Amino acid sequence: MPNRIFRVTNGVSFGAKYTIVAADDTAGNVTIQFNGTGTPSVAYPIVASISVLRAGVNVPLADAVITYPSNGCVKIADGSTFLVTTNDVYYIVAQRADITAE
Amino acid sequence: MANKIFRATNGVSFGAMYTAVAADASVVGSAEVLTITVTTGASASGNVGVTLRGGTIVNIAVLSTDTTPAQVATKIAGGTYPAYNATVNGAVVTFTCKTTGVKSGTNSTTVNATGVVVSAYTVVAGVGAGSIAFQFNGVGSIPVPYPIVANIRVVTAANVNVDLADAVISYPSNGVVTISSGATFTVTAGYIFSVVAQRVDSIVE
Repeated sequence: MPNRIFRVTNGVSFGAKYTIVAADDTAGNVTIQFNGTGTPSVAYPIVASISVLRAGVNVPLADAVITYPSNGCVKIADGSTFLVTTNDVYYIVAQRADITAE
Repeated sequence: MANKIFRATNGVSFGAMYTAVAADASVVGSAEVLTITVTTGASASGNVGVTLRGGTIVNIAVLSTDTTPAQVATKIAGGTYPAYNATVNGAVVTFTCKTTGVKSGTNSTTVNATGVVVSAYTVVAGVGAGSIAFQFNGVGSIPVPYPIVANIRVVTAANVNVDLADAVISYPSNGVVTISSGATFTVTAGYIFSVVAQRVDSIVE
């Protein structure tokens, strides 16, 4: 599946709304990619908080598999309970990450 | 309940913390109201199909003699809609949802070859029972003029996480996110709501 590409809000902050399509459902995963002004994703890691709504009702993430496959990307994949489902709406709030604890 | 107003952190990023009060928990829900106006009557017999919120199409038989908008509107209002009650006033048909809260899905009217013309749907959104609307303003008194996405976390007064379960979350207008009670999740006085929001890019490339 190609990544789903969105643009940065202000250089380090990101917000995206995405409705799952059948191809995502079939693949069992979706990767949200945040770009700057060009075509590659931003050049740094991010952290993301994701909520999913189905017909306006919260869908618990349960055992969804959430990973960060590369800079600027977050991937949500099927668990055994949580499934990437057509027409579910994903709301992602993300931020450039400091991944080195001092 | 009035919206709970918070301010932008840096123009596009938002954070809010709010402790629910009894008035939030006791918000009485209201039903969604949909309205259409028939602007041209029928010139041929056939079906006018009405689909509310993506449900099953309800076919209304009109006749070539239903030449006025009011005649057609009356027939549309006479249909049986599982989730809505329909009434008519002249050429205007009003569909009132049988349950409270925000609804989603597409509304459409299929006129086929009847010659009937119907307006687009106007929507007055419902409100869920037990509800808090978080409104993010810029520097003025109105919400920011763009859509947002938000992630909401809830803890009890003792700081224990509360599963959102079937909470109803909606974005009724720019800069506003609303959370309402579901069958399991209940907006409760004393719960502490943490909201992190962001201006949204909703057009995937």
